[in-house]
Amino acid sequence: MLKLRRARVLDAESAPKGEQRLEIELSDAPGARRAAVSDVGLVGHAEPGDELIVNVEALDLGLGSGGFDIVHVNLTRGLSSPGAPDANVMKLNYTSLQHTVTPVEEAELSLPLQRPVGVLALHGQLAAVAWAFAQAAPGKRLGFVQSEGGALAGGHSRTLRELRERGLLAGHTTAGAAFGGELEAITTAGALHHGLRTLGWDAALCGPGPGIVGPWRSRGARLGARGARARRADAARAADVLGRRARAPSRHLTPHADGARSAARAGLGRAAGGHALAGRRRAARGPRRDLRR
Amino acid sequence: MRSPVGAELRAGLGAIFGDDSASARPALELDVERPVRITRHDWRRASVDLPAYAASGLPRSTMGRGLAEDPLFFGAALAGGTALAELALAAAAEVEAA
Repeated sequence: MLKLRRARVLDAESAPKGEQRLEIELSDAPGARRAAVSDVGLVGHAEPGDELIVNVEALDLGLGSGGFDIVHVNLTRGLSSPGAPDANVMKLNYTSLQHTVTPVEEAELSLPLQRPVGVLALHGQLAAVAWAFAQAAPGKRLGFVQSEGGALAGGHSRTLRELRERGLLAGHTTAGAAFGGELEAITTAGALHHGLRTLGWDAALCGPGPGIVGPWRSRGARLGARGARARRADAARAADVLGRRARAPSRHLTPHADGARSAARAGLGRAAGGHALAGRRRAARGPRRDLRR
Repeated sequence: MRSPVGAELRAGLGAIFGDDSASARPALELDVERPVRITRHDWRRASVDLPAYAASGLPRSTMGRGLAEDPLFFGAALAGGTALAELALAAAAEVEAA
């Protein structure tokens, strides 16, 4: 069951879109200031004095990447949205946060894609990859497809916002359950196809938003935290069936000898120092379906 | 850290982050064509410039670890960006030639 509480806004930053940072106090703990965020595209702006319902689960648990409450609904000014009557595809469907989007998927496929796709295991790699891309290929356009696995809200990443403002990314599409990007896609494959074919990206990056689902508590599960490999394989497979071999920075999720971290060490092996990129010849074992056939 | 060049990387980063024991950028040499354990991948090399990235003003920490603490994380990502750019340039050249 959701851990929801009533709250009141004490302070609110100006944020025309994306994510708005707030300071709030809970009705049952007045005087105690708490950090909160509001997804502007989803629940609207908040102003000081607004009455809210917030989800306090992450902050109460002390999660490393969730040190704030999240606005579930703004009772003062969030109950009069007209919705989007022309759109009919739902994201976060069958939840109380379901909302309509207009997906980018096109009726016609144009394959194979003739441009490369890079796959990220962690959102923390995004800035470095985008910066290095711009240094090595000035003027070439690199787009980002945000997949599941981390934050689903496309407006949550400040890094992403900065990369867009600095021109290091040409666009941002949220795919699958991820939402709130500049464009919406039903699938990762659809987002990649649209970016590389229709928008004219010279290359695409695909990976999760910030924060990884359960990195510590599920670390022992091969398809839990270490399932980052599985998520990366999903994205790589999407590129693969579109006719492009995916590339991925290789150093991830090999247990370190000190046992204290799940982050990996050995991917680059003796060629360490970041001098390598390893792209899987196949995204995943087993039969694959090639959409070109 | 199991990287054989970890100390050198740290030395270079020390030049940025104020470690007096190191005053030069790392001069890294790959001592193998392809690591033995890498058999199922298309292996590529790419040069990276950690100090330049550190000076870019972009985020340089991941999961609580800074660039100097985890240079391989950022090195791999920078290498990924460089190699991806090379692939993009090659793909553009292919299209132009076709």
